[in-house]
Amino acid sequence: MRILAIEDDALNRRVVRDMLSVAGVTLNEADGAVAGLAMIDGTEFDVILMDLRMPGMDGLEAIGHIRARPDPKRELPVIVVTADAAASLRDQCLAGGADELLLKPVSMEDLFEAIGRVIAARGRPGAMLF
Amino acid sequence: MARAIRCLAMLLGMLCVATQAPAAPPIAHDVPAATDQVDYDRVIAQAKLVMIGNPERARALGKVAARLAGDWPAGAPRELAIARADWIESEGAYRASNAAAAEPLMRKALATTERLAPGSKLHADLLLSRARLRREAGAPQDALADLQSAYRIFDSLHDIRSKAKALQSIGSIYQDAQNYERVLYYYRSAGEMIPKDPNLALSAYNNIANAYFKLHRYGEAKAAYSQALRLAERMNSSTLRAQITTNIADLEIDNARPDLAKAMIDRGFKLTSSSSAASLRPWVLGAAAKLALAKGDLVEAQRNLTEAFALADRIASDQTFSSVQLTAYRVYKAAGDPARALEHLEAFRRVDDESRALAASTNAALMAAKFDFNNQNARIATLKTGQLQRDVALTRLRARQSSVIFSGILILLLALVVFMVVYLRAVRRNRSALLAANAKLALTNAELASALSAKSQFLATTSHEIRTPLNGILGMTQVILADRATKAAVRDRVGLIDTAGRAMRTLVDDILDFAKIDAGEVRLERVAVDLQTVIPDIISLWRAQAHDKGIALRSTVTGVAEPIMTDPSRLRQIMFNLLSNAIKFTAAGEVHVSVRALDADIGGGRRVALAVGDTGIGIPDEAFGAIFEPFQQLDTTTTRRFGGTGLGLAISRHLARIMGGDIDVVSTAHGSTFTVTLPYATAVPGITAAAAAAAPATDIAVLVASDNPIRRSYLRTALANELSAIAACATGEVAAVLASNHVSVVLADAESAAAALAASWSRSDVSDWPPVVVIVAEDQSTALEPWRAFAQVQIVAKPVRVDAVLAILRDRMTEPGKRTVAAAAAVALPVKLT
Repeated sequence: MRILAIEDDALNRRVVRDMLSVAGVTLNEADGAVAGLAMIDGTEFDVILMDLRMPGMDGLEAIGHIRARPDPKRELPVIVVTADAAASLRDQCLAGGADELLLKPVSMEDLFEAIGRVIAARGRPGAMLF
Repeated sequence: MARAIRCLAMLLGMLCVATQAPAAPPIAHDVPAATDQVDYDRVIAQAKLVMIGNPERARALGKVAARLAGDWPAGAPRELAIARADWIESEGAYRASNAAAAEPLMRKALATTERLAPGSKLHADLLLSRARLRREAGAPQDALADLQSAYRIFDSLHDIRSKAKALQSIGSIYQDAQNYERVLYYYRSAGEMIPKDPNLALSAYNNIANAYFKLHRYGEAKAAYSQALRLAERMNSSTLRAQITTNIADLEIDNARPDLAKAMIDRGFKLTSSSSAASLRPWVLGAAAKLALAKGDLVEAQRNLTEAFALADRIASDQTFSSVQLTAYRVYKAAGDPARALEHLEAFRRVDDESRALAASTNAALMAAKFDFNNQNARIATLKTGQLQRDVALTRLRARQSSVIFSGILILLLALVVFMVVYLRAVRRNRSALLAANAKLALTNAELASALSAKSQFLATTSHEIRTPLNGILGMTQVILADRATKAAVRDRVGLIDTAGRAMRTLVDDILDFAKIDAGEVRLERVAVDLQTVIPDIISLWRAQAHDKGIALRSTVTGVAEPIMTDPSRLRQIMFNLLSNAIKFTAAGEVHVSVRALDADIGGGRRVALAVGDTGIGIPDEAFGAIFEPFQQLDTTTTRRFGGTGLGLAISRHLARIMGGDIDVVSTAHGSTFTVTLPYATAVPGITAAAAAAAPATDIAVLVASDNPIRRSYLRTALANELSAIAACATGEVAAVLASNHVSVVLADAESAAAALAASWSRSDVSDWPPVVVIVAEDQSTALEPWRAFAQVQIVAKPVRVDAVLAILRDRMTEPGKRTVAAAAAVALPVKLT
């Protein structure tokens, strides 16, 4: 399983990295949206974990770029991980192309559940078993 | 004649009742006869007319009116008429200086009116009377509350004059507090409302002028006094004219205009030479003495004072006379008569101290009752110091161990609790009626909009800032705890950090929730919820905790067969909070949850009552109001013993109210019962009940077994499109799950761990298992060769399509063969199903 976290805060990246290692997954990391989009170009990922508030391009804009791709990678599952608890934010993210939203502080179980769910949900009928 | 008509009316009334269909409105036979009403009205009108001039007579007339109303037929009109008469009588008594007689009458009348005619003018008038009483009893914040309520009622009745009266009464409370800005504000607002009403306008101008005077704004004071004087002249009242003239004289002396002062004093003497205004002569003399002192003429000053005090025996302790005392002190001091000077100084001090004490206590009481949102920074600083003590105690209880990380949590929690408590106190005060009155009168939309957006900004930023480091803390604790290599001692300590971190997260969530509810941002769902399944479900989650404490947990659910239309997650939130409190505060005994439908009461629909009763420590009567307030525990020792943010009940009650219901509590020393009542709105036929929370699985179609939590979630979701009743667990737990549940098919996800899987399962008696479908990676299938011997094991190598796997599972599910024998389903599973 290949997972990319796009998150500018080193501590948050570390948390996700350690959590995923509990599930036996090695995390790929990008410290900004631009770097992250470049990594998506060059690698096949199964899920993207996206922070919202980043300097430069923010999370929602990055998701827009992914969804606007001409190739199959536009269907990449994206989970937004954010500390912003505003009620309208969930709707905003889902409308902007995210698959799910996790609220910090992230529960490890919720993270695993969400990753498994979005991979399954994005699979089309007739897809191979992951 | 009147009596005959009355009898006839009663007879007719009874006849009507006897012959009328039951659908007739019941009030028909308690309205009095027309002539009786007229008689009564006349007496009341007369009483009101003479109230100011002859309060004793007004009081007597009130008694008469009460007697007249006593003869009316029993019912609401009679009671209200008696209440009105009692009010008149009490007002008369009060004005005739018999406050002791006035109070019980007023209270009785208010009780009746609150019951039978809330929101009526009589109600509001009675509130004004009670406000006056409360103010004199030294409870200005209660008086203020009454005045605000009265104001609101008058506003709804469009009674402008009475609104102005209420505002003036509020102004006079601020006068006690010596807060002259506020005094000006309220009197000016009142004055704007009724520019044509001479009585109110005069009082307004006079008080406004006094306030300006105290603020040393002499020009404005003089202008206001002049207005008042003009009105007094038009009303031809020498008393009022004399009073105002003396005030102006005082002003001119302070304003260094002795010539103008002299003119006023002379006029004052002329006015007080008439008998009606003679009682004001001492004040005029006082002003004359003050002027003489300013001119340096001590002989003249002393002469005036001697005469003033000869006349003023009775009023020596009057507050307004204290200024004359002060003048006297200065005069005798300058004249070298220290004994007399001291005497007058002491008299002045006594009154001055009293009024300062009144101002201080009034201010203290008012501070608790109002909040000026625009000055939040200043107020936050003031509240913070007082609040810090309690918050330190509050956060201390959360700390159980001392470690570097833990001090970080403590500091963060302190800052959060201090700022959030202070800010939310501000938000809550903001909603008080006083600010509603302010907003209506003076607050512009722009001010309001900017304040609200500042609040949202603050909440969003603070919440965000706290959550980010919490992510670091809880993220690492989870990872450490999930690592099997963590030693027991470390695991223990890290566990405590984790618990504290979770508590902090709950606090942040609770506070945000509370603020959202407060700002009206909560959106409620409306879904059909089957209480008969949902309630036992919620309770089952608390069984373990109750069991650990050794208390019984039981429930009775009756009469709610039909699903209720409500918000399931909010309902759950409320029940969680009540159950959590019940279990927390009960050391021994039981917690009993009872759900029942209530009969429809008059005017309302059917309701559902969900009661959580415990045999715990109970709640003292005086704390009843406080427990629903945010951050109030019964006392700080409760906080230390039992923990909790104190927001739970406040949130629960908010939620219950916006859901159309409420929460109330009954408590003795042997336990409490909290009851949530909600409207029992039922679904439109055709809408099926929403699925209850996942029932404990006893009949499982597919058991997904995987050691990778992500893959567990993935497989479960992938299969759930086509199949239902799917459960998941780790490979080592399969045997235990099979022992206590009925499973049709096991889907084992071997991935790269096929060898390990084979090793762990070989110890079990696989032949007794239901069909097992094992998914392996292509190159791993050899490790499972020994398993091919079992008939019910099917090994599927990847790559394979999802629908192919589904087809295989369906086939195996319907296959005849061995099935596990399900153990008693009621036993809680020892294994956590993921």
